[in-house]
Amino acid sequence: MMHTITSGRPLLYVESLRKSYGKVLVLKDVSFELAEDEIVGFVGPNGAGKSTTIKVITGLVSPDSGITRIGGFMLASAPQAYLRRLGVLIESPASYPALTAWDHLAYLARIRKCYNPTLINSTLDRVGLRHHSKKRVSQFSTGMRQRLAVAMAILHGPRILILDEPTNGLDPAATIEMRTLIGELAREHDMAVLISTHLLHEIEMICNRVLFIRGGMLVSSRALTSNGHNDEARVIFVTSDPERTVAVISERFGASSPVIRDSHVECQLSKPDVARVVIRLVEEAIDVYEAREKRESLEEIYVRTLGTSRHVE
Amino acid sequence: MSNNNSSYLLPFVRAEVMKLWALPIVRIAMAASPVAMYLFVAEVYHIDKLPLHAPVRNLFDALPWVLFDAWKTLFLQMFIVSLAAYAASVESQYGMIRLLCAQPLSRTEYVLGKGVAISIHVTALTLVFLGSAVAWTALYSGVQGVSWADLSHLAIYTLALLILVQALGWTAYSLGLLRRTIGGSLITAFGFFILLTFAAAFSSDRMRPYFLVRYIFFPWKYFPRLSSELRSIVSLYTSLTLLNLLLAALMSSGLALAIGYVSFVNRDITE
Repeated sequence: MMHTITSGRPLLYVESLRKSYGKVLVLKDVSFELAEDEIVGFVGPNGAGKSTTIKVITGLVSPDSGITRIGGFMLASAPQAYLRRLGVLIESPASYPALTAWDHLAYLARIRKCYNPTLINSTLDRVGLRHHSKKRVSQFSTGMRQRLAVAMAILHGPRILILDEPTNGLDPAATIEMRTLIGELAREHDMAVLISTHLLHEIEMICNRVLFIRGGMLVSSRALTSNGHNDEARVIFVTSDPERTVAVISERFGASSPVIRDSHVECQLSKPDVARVVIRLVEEAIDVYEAREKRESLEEIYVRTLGTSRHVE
Repeated sequence: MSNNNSSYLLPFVRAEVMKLWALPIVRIAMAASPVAMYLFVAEVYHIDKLPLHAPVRNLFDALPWVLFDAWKTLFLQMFIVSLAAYAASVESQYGMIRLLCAQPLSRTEYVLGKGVAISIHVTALTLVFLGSAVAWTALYSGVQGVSWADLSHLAIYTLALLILVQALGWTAYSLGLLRRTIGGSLITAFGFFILLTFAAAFSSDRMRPYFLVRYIFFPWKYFPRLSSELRSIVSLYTSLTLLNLLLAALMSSGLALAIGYVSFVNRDITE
């Protein structure tokens, strides 16, 4: 099943990826698209296939079948054009301890034929490492190494940024900095960003969409609005007559399974319908004391979608 | 963004050469070579007191002793094997392999580019090693009476030495590609070197000359004024030519490179 985008021009296409290590089928069928400006979270339990999917997309691991392409460039047939458009940070931030931040960026810039001191300085500026450019990475904190890894990923101005656990090992302040940086990159440079992380709160704060993977298969794709919440809401109504409220909502608005809980009514509604329900209840002479959205956190969505089992499939 | 689909080999070689040069271990070895070579020269002149035992008319009478003393300590060989093995696996050790293999650089360009970059540093270090020996010995014994024949012998010796060290470097690098940690790579490369030293004991009757180990002390045969000790060692090689050395170097390092290459380009980067 292809998990398509909600808006924007698609940049990355991942189609029917399958991968096995020996007899273990790690990816069974992974397909999705990523559009420009989109920040997509990629979540699932350990062993679900997140890192393998990312390694296939970045060319580190060859799939048994399936394709990945960026625009019209397929990784299998046009790897240079494909990889030129990709920036990656995979798992722990990689670096040479004996080299400086400047050395790292100069090294990658030379490989990518874009060596230019101004570009290197501006990239170091972008991640806040300009004043540490001549310091060896062995003297860097985890947060600084993570920022250097982001600098190495964005140096050449990629269209797509793949980040595997970008906030791994960061303290809360550094996590906020990283989140802000990723958001700015996506907005200011029209980058599409795919983030794999276990930190659901981070996904909720920054992503437009979230992909759920389990047992090597994408099981769901859920759009999130810019403030991290769904267009459809779980709504709570506190009224003078809960039974009649349930009847009105069910009959008139076709809401999914309104239920009475602790003397209030809870149901799933589109946001524009909430005001209409209130008007209708008043017309039916039901006093409405309160109507508010019950926010379902991504953690709750995760549990509902993937369950809580720690079993690795 | 450039849409140029040309090869990334040369940019990668340049980047690798600069990166290796930025590593302290390489710069320390370059700087240490002249100092270490002075110690060998001092040993020959001040401890062994060579001028008391043999006529030393100019540097070419002492140079074989100095170079042979230095070669026996394995200083240069060990550094070359270590550098090649380190460079082969440093990316895997520190995770940079994940970043490099996601660059628009083919695995073939990666293997060849890194090998060429190591080869450039090996050449530079060998020339510094040799140049230091010549300079220090010339300082002690002068250059008076040096003939064109002496210089041509030195040139051929230099060529033979470069072929030998390149074979060592490429073989150690290629074997290092099979491993995913610096420690594992060093163990594999040193294991290979130990095998070489054992295999050197085989005479040419028992082992065909198309084998690198037969040539460990081969370059010294080009020095005309050898001591009896050195002469007995190089007598094993008198029937062999520079072409034999080149062929053996190409075959042994080529075989190792083929194994390392096939393993690297076909493997999944899972580290």
